Amino acid sequence: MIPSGEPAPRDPFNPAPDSGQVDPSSHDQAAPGSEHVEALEREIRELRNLETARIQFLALVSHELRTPLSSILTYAEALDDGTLGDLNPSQHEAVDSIGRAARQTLEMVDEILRYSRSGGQSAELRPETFEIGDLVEELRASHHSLLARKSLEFRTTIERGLPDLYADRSKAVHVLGNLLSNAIEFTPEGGRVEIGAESADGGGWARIEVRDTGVGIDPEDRERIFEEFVSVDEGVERRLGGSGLGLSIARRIVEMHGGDIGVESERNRGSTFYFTLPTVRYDTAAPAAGGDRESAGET
Amino acid sequence: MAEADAPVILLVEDDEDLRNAYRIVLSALGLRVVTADRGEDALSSLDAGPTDAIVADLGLPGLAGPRLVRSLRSAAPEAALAVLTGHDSDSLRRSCRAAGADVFLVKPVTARELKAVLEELLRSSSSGSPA
Repeated sequence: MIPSGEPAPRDPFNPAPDSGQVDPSSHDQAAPGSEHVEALEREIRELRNLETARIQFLALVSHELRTPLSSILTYAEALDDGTLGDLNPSQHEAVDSIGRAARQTLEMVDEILRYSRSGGQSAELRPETFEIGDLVEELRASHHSLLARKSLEFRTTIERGLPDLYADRSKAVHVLGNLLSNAIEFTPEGGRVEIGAESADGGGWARIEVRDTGVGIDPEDRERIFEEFVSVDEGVERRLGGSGLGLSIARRIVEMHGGDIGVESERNRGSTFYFTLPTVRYDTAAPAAGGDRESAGET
Repeated sequence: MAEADAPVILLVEDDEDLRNAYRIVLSALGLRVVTADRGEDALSSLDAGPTDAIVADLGLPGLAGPRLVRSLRSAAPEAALAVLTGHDSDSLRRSCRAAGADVFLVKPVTARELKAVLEELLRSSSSGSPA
Protein backbone atom coordinates (compact mmCIF):
# COMPACT_ATOMS: atom_id res chain seq x y z
CA MET A 1 0.00 0.00 0.00
CA ILE A 2 1.13 3.52 -0.66
CA PRO A 3 1.37 5.48 2.61
CA SER A 4 -0.77 8.60 2.79
CA GLY A 5 1.12 11.76 2.03
CA GLU A 6 3.19 9.95 -0.58
CA PRO A 7 2.83 10.80 -4.26
CA ALA A 8 -0.15 9.13 -5.92
CA PRO A 9 0.67 5.82 -7.65
CA ARG A 10 1.13 5.96 -11.37
CA ASP A 11 0.68 3.48 -14.12
CA PRO A 12 4.25 2.65 -15.18
CA PHE A 13 3.05 2.04 -18.72
CA ASN A 14 1.20 5.35 -19.02
CA PRO A 15 3.18 7.96 -17.13
CA ALA A 16 1.63 11.40 -17.05
CA PRO A 17 3.65 14.09 -18.84
CA ASP A 18 4.30 15.91 -15.58
CA SER A 19 4.83 12.75 -13.59
CA GLY A 20 8.26 13.72 -12.34
CA GLN A 21 9.83 10.62 -13.87
CA VAL A 22 13.50 10.86 -14.64
CA ASP A 23 14.03 12.97 -17.71
CA PRO A 24 17.25 12.08 -19.54
CA SER A 25 17.53 15.66 -20.79
CA SER A 26 17.84 16.92 -17.22
CA HIS A 27 21.12 15.10 -16.53
CA ASP A 28 23.10 18.29 -17.02
CA GLN A 29 21.34 19.88 -14.08
CA ALA A 30 22.68 19.88 -10.54
CA ALA A 31 23.98 16.52 -9.29
CA PRO A 32 21.32 14.68 -7.35
CA GLY A 33 21.52 15.08 -3.60
CA SER A 34 20.61 12.43 -1.08
CA GLU A 35 17.02 13.70 -0.95
CA HIS A 36 16.70 13.30 -4.67
CA VAL A 37 18.19 9.80 -4.54
CA GLU A 38 15.80 8.84 -1.75
CA ALA A 39 12.86 10.15 -3.74
CA LEU A 40 13.94 8.11 -6.74
CA GLU A 41 14.38 4.99 -4.64
CA ARG A 42 10.94 5.52 -3.15
CA GLU A 43 9.51 5.95 -6.61
CA ILE A 44 11.12 2.71 -7.80
CA ARG A 45 9.68 0.86 -4.79
CA GLU A 46 6.23 2.25 -5.52
CA LEU A 47 6.40 1.23 -9.14
CA ARG A 48 7.49 -2.27 -8.16
CA ASN A 49 4.62 -2.52 -5.67
CA LEU A 50 2.22 -1.31 -8.32
CA GLU A 51 3.48 -3.87 -10.82
CA THR A 52 3.20 -6.65 -8.23
CA ALA A 53 -0.36 -5.57 -7.38
CA ARG A 54 -1.24 -5.49 -11.05
CA ILE A 55 0.09 -9.01 -11.59
CA GLN A 56 -1.74 -10.30 -8.51
CA PHE A 57 -4.94 -8.67 -9.71
CA LEU A 58 -4.66 -10.33 -13.11
CA ALA A 59 -4.08 -13.73 -11.51
CA LEU A 60 -7.07 -13.23 -9.24
CA VAL A 61 -9.33 -12.26 -12.12
CA SER A 62 -8.28 -15.22 -14.19
CA HIS A 63 -8.99 -17.61 -11.30
CA GLU A 64 -12.33 -16.09 -10.38
CA LEU A 65 -13.66 -16.21 -13.94
CA ARG A 66 -13.38 -19.99 -13.95
CA THR A 67 -16.43 -20.50 -11.76
CA PRO A 68 -18.95 -18.62 -13.95
CA LEU A 69 -17.36 -20.24 -17.01
CA SER A 70 -18.11 -23.64 -15.48
CA SER A 71 -21.80 -22.69 -15.23
CA ILE A 72 -21.95 -21.40 -18.80
CA LEU A 73 -20.16 -24.39 -20.28
CA THR A 74 -22.22 -26.85 -18.26
CA TYR A 75 -25.52 -25.41 -19.48
CA ALA A 76 -24.29 -24.96 -23.06
CA GLU A 77 -23.15 -28.58 -23.22
CA ALA A 78 -26.28 -29.99 -21.57
CA LEU A 79 -28.55 -28.01 -23.89
CA ASP A 80 -26.54 -28.92 -26.95
CA ASP A 81 -26.41 -32.66 -26.28
CA GLY A 82 -30.11 -32.87 -25.39
CA THR A 83 -29.64 -33.68 -21.69
CA LEU A 84 -32.12 -30.94 -20.85
CA GLY A 85 -34.50 -31.67 -23.73
CA ASP A 86 -34.67 -31.22 -27.49
CA LEU A 87 -33.88 -27.93 -29.17
CA ASN A 88 -34.95 -26.65 -32.55
CA PRO A 89 -32.20 -25.77 -35.08
CA SER A 90 -32.12 -22.06 -34.18
CA GLN A 91 -31.82 -22.87 -30.50
CA HIS A 92 -29.02 -25.33 -31.27
CA GLU A 93 -27.20 -22.61 -33.18
CA ALA A 94 -27.62 -20.17 -30.31
CA VAL A 95 -26.33 -22.68 -27.76
CA ASP A 96 -23.37 -23.56 -30.00
CA SER A 97 -22.53 -19.88 -30.13
CA ILE A 98 -22.69 -19.57 -26.34
CA GLY A 99 -20.36 -22.56 -25.99
CA ARG A 100 -17.87 -21.18 -28.50
CA ALA A 101 -17.85 -17.76 -26.84
CA ALA A 102 -17.26 -19.37 -23.45
CA ARG A 103 -14.33 -21.41 -24.83
CA GLN A 104 -12.84 -18.26 -26.34
CA THR A 105 -13.22 -16.51 -23.01
CA LEU A 106 -11.46 -19.42 -21.33
CA GLU A 107 -8.55 -19.08 -23.77
CA MET A 108 -8.26 -15.41 -22.83
CA VAL A 109 -8.42 -16.25 -19.14
CA ASP A 110 -5.62 -18.79 -19.60
CA GLU A 111 -3.62 -16.23 -21.52
CA ILE A 112 -4.04 -13.63 -18.78
CA LEU A 113 -2.91 -16.18 -16.21
CA ARG A 114 0.18 -17.04 -18.26
CA TYR A 115 0.91 -13.35 -18.60
CA SER A 116 0.58 -12.71 -14.89
CA ARG A 117 2.89 -15.65 -14.18
CA SER A 118 5.49 -14.61 -16.71
CA GLY A 119 5.41 -11.05 -15.35
CA GLY A 120 6.47 -12.01 -11.84
CA GLN A 121 9.96 -11.60 -10.54
CA SER A 122 10.24 -15.36 -10.25
CA ALA A 123 9.86 -15.86 -13.99
CA GLU A 124 13.01 -17.74 -14.89
CA LEU A 125 14.44 -19.15 -18.04
CA ARG A 126 15.34 -22.82 -18.07
CA PRO A 127 17.46 -23.04 -21.19
CA GLU A 128 18.17 -26.34 -22.86
CA THR A 129 19.50 -27.53 -26.21
CA PHE A 130 16.96 -28.61 -28.82
CA GLU A 131 16.45 -28.76 -32.57
CA ILE A 132 14.29 -26.11 -34.16
CA GLY A 133 13.02 -28.76 -36.59
CA ASP A 134 11.55 -30.80 -33.73
CA LEU A 135 9.85 -27.73 -32.35
CA VAL A 136 8.32 -26.89 -35.73
CA GLU A 137 7.14 -30.47 -36.22
CA GLU A 138 5.53 -30.49 -32.79
CA LEU A 139 3.64 -27.29 -33.58
CA ARG A 140 2.67 -28.48 -37.05
CA ALA A 141 1.12 -31.58 -35.45
CA SER A 142 -0.74 -29.62 -32.78
CA HIS A 143 -2.10 -27.17 -35.40
CA HIS A 144 -2.88 -29.84 -37.99
CA SER A 145 -6.66 -29.69 -37.68
CA LEU A 146 -6.73 -25.88 -37.77
CA LEU A 147 -4.60 -25.87 -40.93
CA ALA A 148 -6.75 -28.54 -42.54
CA ARG A 149 -10.01 -26.79 -41.68
CA LYS A 150 -8.97 -23.81 -43.80
CA SER A 151 -7.17 -25.88 -46.45
CA LEU A 152 -3.96 -23.96 -45.78
CA GLU A 153 -0.68 -25.02 -47.32
CA PHE A 154 2.01 -25.36 -44.65
CA ARG A 155 5.69 -25.11 -45.54
CA THR A 156 8.91 -25.12 -43.57
CA THR A 157 12.28 -23.80 -44.66
CA ILE A 158 15.08 -24.52 -42.23
CA GLU A 159 18.65 -23.62 -43.08
CA ARG A 160 20.86 -26.66 -43.43
CA GLY A 161 23.41 -26.84 -40.63
CA LEU A 162 21.56 -24.40 -38.39
CA PRO A 163 22.87 -25.12 -34.87
CA ASP A 164 20.48 -26.28 -32.16
CA LEU A 165 18.72 -23.60 -30.16
CA TYR A 166 19.81 -22.95 -26.61
CA ALA A 167 16.67 -21.51 -25.04
CA ASP A 168 13.76 -22.24 -22.71
CA ARG A 169 11.93 -24.79 -24.85
CA SER A 170 8.46 -24.41 -23.30
CA LYS A 171 8.64 -20.64 -23.70
CA ALA A 172 9.86 -21.00 -27.29
CA VAL A 173 6.84 -23.24 -27.95
CA HIS A 174 4.63 -20.52 -26.56
CA VAL A 175 6.14 -17.83 -28.83
CA LEU A 176 6.15 -19.85 -32.03
CA GLY A 177 2.74 -21.37 -31.25
CA ASN A 178 1.26 -17.93 -30.72
CA LEU A 179 2.63 -16.63 -34.02
CA LEU A 180 1.49 -19.75 -35.86
CA SER A 181 -2.04 -19.55 -34.39
CA ASN A 182 -2.30 -15.90 -35.42
CA ALA A 183 -1.07 -16.69 -38.93
CA ILE A 184 -3.63 -19.46 -39.33
CA GLU A 185 -6.44 -17.36 -37.95
CA PHE A 186 -5.83 -14.41 -40.24
CA THR A 187 -4.97 -16.18 -43.46
CA PRO A 188 -7.92 -16.68 -45.80
CA GLU A 189 -8.95 -20.17 -46.81
CA GLY A 190 -6.60 -21.79 -49.32
CA GLY A 191 -3.69 -19.53 -48.35
CA ARG A 192 -0.20 -20.42 -47.17
CA VAL A 193 1.56 -20.38 -43.83
CA GLU A 194 5.28 -20.91 -43.64
CA ILE A 195 7.85 -21.26 -40.88
CA GLY A 196 11.46 -20.49 -41.68
CA ALA A 197 14.64 -20.54 -39.61
CA GLU A 198 18.15 -19.36 -40.43
CA SER A 199 21.25 -18.24 -38.60
CA ALA A 200 21.45 -14.57 -37.75
CA ASP A 201 23.84 -11.92 -36.53
CA GLY A 202 26.87 -13.80 -37.82
CA GLY A 203 26.11 -16.93 -35.79
CA GLY A 204 25.10 -17.47 -32.21
CA TRP A 205 21.48 -16.62 -33.03
CA ALA A 206 18.65 -18.09 -35.06
CA ARG A 207 16.06 -15.95 -36.78
CA ILE A 208 12.72 -17.74 -36.89
CA GLU A 209 9.96 -16.46 -39.13
CA VAL A 210 6.27 -17.17 -39.50
CA ARG A 211 5.04 -15.98 -42.87
CA ASP A 212 1.43 -15.87 -43.96
CA THR A 213 -0.60 -14.74 -46.94
CA GLY A 214 -3.18 -13.01 -44.74
CA VAL A 215 -4.63 -9.52 -44.52
CA GLY A 216 -1.43 -7.82 -43.36
CA ILE A 217 -0.95 -5.09 -40.78
CA ASP A 218 -0.90 -1.35 -41.31
CA PRO A 219 2.46 0.38 -40.64
CA GLU A 220 1.14 2.41 -37.70
CA ASP A 221 0.02 -0.76 -35.91
CA ARG A 222 3.17 -2.84 -36.32
CA GLU A 223 4.77 -1.75 -33.05
CA ARG A 224 1.57 -1.30 -31.09
CA ILE A 225 0.43 -4.90 -31.51
CA PHE A 226 3.26 -5.98 -29.19
CA GLU A 227 2.01 -3.79 -26.38
CA GLU A 228 -0.09 -5.30 -23.64
CA PHE A 229 -3.82 -4.58 -23.37
CA VAL A 230 -3.41 -2.20 -26.24
CA SER A 231 -6.51 -0.30 -27.21
CA VAL A 232 -6.63 -0.70 -30.94
CA ASP A 233 -8.89 -0.22 -33.88
CA GLU A 234 -11.07 -3.01 -35.09
CA GLY A 235 -8.66 -4.20 -37.73
CA VAL A 236 -5.81 -4.81 -35.36
CA GLU A 237 -8.13 -6.22 -32.75
CA ARG A 238 -9.18 -8.82 -35.27
CA ARG A 239 -5.56 -9.45 -36.06
CA LEU A 240 -4.71 -9.93 -32.41
CA GLY A 241 -7.75 -11.90 -31.40
CA GLY A 242 -7.93 -13.15 -27.83
CA SER A 243 -7.02 -10.93 -24.96
CA GLY A 244 -4.44 -8.80 -26.74
CA LEU A 245 -1.77 -10.36 -24.56
CA GLY A 246 -0.36 -13.11 -26.76
CA LEU A 247 2.13 -10.96 -28.60
CA SER A 248 3.14 -8.98 -25.52
CA ILE A 249 3.92 -12.26 -23.75
CA ALA A 250 5.86 -13.40 -26.82
CA ARG A 251 7.88 -10.18 -26.80
CA ARG A 252 8.60 -10.52 -23.10
CA ILE A 253 9.83 -14.10 -23.58
CA VAL A 254 12.04 -13.22 -26.54
CA GLU A 255 13.52 -10.23 -24.72
CA MET A 256 14.24 -12.40 -21.67
CA HIS A 257 16.47 -14.42 -24.01
CA GLY A 258 18.12 -11.23 -25.27
CA GLY A 259 16.49 -11.57 -28.71
CA ASP A 260 14.39 -9.36 -30.94
CA ILE A 261 10.84 -9.74 -32.20
CA GLY A 262 9.01 -7.82 -34.87
CA VAL A 263 6.85 -7.91 -37.94
CA GLU A 264 7.20 -6.98 -41.58
CA SER A 265 3.97 -6.64 -43.47
CA GLU A 266 2.17 -5.25 -46.46
CA ARG A 267 -1.54 -4.63 -46.38
CA ASN A 268 -3.36 -7.51 -48.14
CA ARG A 269 -0.07 -9.19 -49.02
CA GLY A 270 0.58 -11.01 -45.80
CA SER A 271 2.84 -10.65 -42.78
CA THR A 272 6.14 -12.03 -41.63
CA PHE A 273 6.58 -12.20 -37.87
CA TYR A 274 10.14 -12.90 -36.80
CA PHE A 275 12.05 -13.42 -33.58
CA THR A 276 15.57 -14.40 -32.64
CA LEU A 277 16.76 -16.90 -30.05
CA PRO A 278 20.27 -17.98 -29.08
CA THR A 279 21.84 -21.07 -30.59
CA VAL A 280 24.47 -23.41 -29.26
CA ARG A 281 27.97 -22.25 -30.15
CA TYR A 282 30.23 -24.95 -31.58
CA ASP A 283 33.58 -23.26 -31.14
CA THR A 284 35.62 -26.07 -32.66
CA ALA A 285 33.15 -27.48 -35.15
CA ALA A 286 33.45 -26.49 -38.77
CA PRO A 287 30.34 -24.82 -40.10
CA ALA A 288 28.12 -27.20 -42.03
CA ALA A 289 27.71 -26.79 -45.76
CA GLY A 290 25.34 -24.02 -46.71
CA GLY A 291 22.10 -24.36 -48.60
CA ASP A 292 18.52 -24.69 -47.62
CA ARG A 293 16.67 -27.80 -46.74
CA GLU A 294 13.12 -27.27 -47.75
CA SER A 295 10.14 -29.38 -47.05
CA ALA A 296 6.69 -28.54 -48.20
CA GLY A 297 3.40 -30.13 -47.52
CA GLU A 298 -0.25 -29.44 -47.66
CA THR A 299 -1.97 -30.01 -44.40
CA MET B 1 -33.81 -38.68 -14.08
CA ALA B 2 -32.15 -40.39 -11.13
CA GLU B 3 -33.04 -43.98 -10.29
CA ALA B 4 -33.44 -44.99 -6.65
CA ASP B 5 -30.16 -46.93 -6.76
CA ALA B 6 -28.23 -44.15 -8.56
CA PRO B 7 -25.06 -42.94 -6.81
CA VAL B 8 -25.53 -40.13 -4.30
CA ILE B 9 -23.26 -37.15 -4.91
CA LEU B 10 -22.68 -34.48 -2.31
CA LEU B 11 -21.88 -31.23 -4.09
CA VAL B 12 -20.21 -28.52 -1.99
CA GLU B 13 -20.06 -25.21 -3.85
CA ASP B 14 -20.74 -21.70 -2.59
CA ASP B 15 -21.46 -20.17 -6.01
CA GLU B 16 -25.21 -20.49 -6.34
CA ASP B 17 -25.30 -20.49 -10.13
CA LEU B 18 -22.71 -23.22 -10.47
CA ARG B 19 -24.27 -25.25 -7.68
CA ASN B 20 -27.62 -25.10 -9.49
CA ALA B 21 -26.07 -25.85 -12.87
CA TYR B 22 -24.34 -28.98 -11.56
CA ARG B 23 -27.42 -30.07 -9.59
CA ILE B 24 -29.77 -29.68 -12.57
CA VAL B 25 -27.52 -31.32 -15.13
CA LEU B 26 -26.10 -34.10 -12.95
CA SER B 27 -29.66 -34.97 -11.89
CA ALA B 28 -30.73 -35.03 -15.53
CA LEU B 29 -27.77 -37.33 -16.21
CA GLY B 30 -29.10 -39.80 -13.64
CA LEU B 31 -27.24 -39.01 -10.42
CA ARG B 32 -28.83 -38.19 -7.09
CA VAL B 33 -27.43 -34.86 -5.96
CA VAL B 34 -27.33 -33.36 -2.49
CA THR B 35 -25.94 -29.83 -2.19
CA ALA B 36 -24.27 -27.70 0.44
CA ASP B 37 -22.90 -24.18 0.18
CA ARG B 38 -20.51 -24.37 3.15
CA GLY B 39 -18.08 -26.94 4.46
CA GLU B 40 -19.82 -27.15 7.82
CA ASP B 41 -23.17 -27.92 6.10
CA ALA B 42 -21.47 -30.57 3.98
CA LEU B 43 -20.31 -32.39 7.13
CA SER B 44 -23.88 -32.31 8.47
CA SER B 45 -25.14 -33.78 5.18
CA LEU B 46 -22.66 -36.63 5.48
CA ASP B 47 -24.09 -37.44 8.91
CA ALA B 48 -27.61 -37.48 7.47
CA GLY B 49 -27.20 -40.33 5.00
CA PRO B 50 -24.90 -42.46 2.81
CA THR B 51 -22.86 -40.63 0.17
CA ASP B 52 -21.03 -42.31 -2.69
CA ALA B 53 -19.01 -39.34 -3.89
CA ILE B 54 -18.20 -35.81 -2.83
CA VAL B 55 -17.36 -32.88 -5.09
CA ALA B 56 -15.99 -29.98 -3.06
CA ASP B 57 -15.00 -26.51 -4.10
CA LEU B 58 -11.96 -25.39 -2.13
CA GLY B 59 -12.61 -21.66 -1.91
CA LEU B 60 -15.52 -21.63 0.52
CA PRO B 61 -16.27 -19.24 3.37
CA GLY B 62 -15.36 -20.80 6.72
CA LEU B 63 -14.04 -24.35 6.52
CA ALA B 64 -12.12 -24.43 3.25
CA GLY B 65 -9.09 -25.68 1.36
CA PRO B 66 -7.07 -28.73 2.47
CA ARG B 67 -8.60 -28.45 5.95
CA LEU B 68 -12.03 -28.98 4.41
CA VAL B 69 -10.71 -31.94 2.41
CA ARG B 70 -9.30 -33.52 5.57
CA SER B 71 -12.61 -33.07 7.40
CA LEU B 72 -14.62 -34.54 4.53
CA ARG B 73 -12.27 -37.49 4.20
CA SER B 74 -12.46 -38.15 7.91
CA ALA B 75 -16.28 -37.99 7.90
CA ALA B 76 -16.64 -40.16 4.78
CA PRO B 77 -13.63 -42.48 4.52
CA GLU B 78 -15.22 -44.63 1.81
CA ALA B 79 -16.59 -41.91 -0.47
CA ALA B 80 -14.89 -40.86 -3.68
CA LEU B 81 -13.63 -37.33 -3.11
CA ALA B 82 -13.02 -34.83 -5.92
CA VAL B 83 -11.86 -31.30 -5.24
CA LEU B 84 -12.72 -28.50 -7.62
CA THR B 85 -10.95 -25.17 -7.76
CA GLY B 86 -10.07 -22.21 -9.92
CA HIS B 87 -6.66 -21.99 -8.24
CA ASP B 88 -4.10 -24.43 -9.50
CA SER B 89 -0.66 -24.92 -8.02
CA ASP B 90 1.60 -27.86 -7.32
CA SER B 91 1.61 -27.15 -3.60
CA LEU B 92 -2.20 -27.00 -3.44
CA ARG B 93 -2.46 -30.28 -5.36
CA ARG B 94 -0.01 -31.94 -2.96
CA SER B 95 -1.84 -30.61 0.11
CA CYS B 96 -5.20 -31.83 -1.16
CA ARG B 97 -3.84 -35.24 -2.08
CA ALA B 98 -2.24 -35.54 1.34
CA ALA B 99 -5.54 -34.52 2.96
CA GLY B 100 -7.36 -37.35 1.21
CA ALA B 101 -8.61 -36.06 -2.16
CA ASP B 102 -8.83 -38.69 -4.89
CA VAL B 103 -8.74 -36.22 -7.74
CA PHE B 104 -7.96 -32.52 -8.21
CA LEU B 105 -10.02 -30.73 -10.86
CA VAL B 106 -9.35 -27.24 -12.16
CA LYS B 107 -12.34 -25.16 -13.27
CA PRO B 108 -13.94 -24.84 -15.68
CA VAL B 109 -15.35 -28.35 -15.51
CA THR B 110 -18.71 -29.17 -17.08
CA ALA B 111 -21.26 -31.40 -15.35
CA ARG B 112 -20.74 -34.09 -17.98
CA GLU B 113 -16.98 -34.05 -17.42
CA LEU B 114 -17.60 -34.19 -13.69
CA LYS B 115 -19.90 -37.18 -14.08
CA ALA B 116 -17.28 -39.05 -16.12
CA VAL B 117 -14.64 -38.44 -13.44
CA LEU B 118 -16.96 -39.51 -10.63
CA GLU B 119 -18.03 -42.67 -12.44
CA GLU B 120 -14.40 -43.59 -12.98
CA LEU B 121 -13.64 -43.03 -9.30
CA LEU B 122 -16.66 -45.10 -8.24
CA ARG B 123 -15.71 -47.90 -10.65
CA SER B 124 -12.15 -47.92 -9.31
CA SER B 125 -13.25 -48.00 -5.69
CA SER B 126 -15.82 -50.77 -6.29
CA SER B 127 -13.20 -52.90 -8.09
CA GLY B 128 -10.79 -52.37 -5.23
CA SER B 129 -8.05 -50.72 -7.26
CA PRO B 130 -6.70 -47.30 -6.34
CA ALA B 131 -8.14 -44.27 -8.14
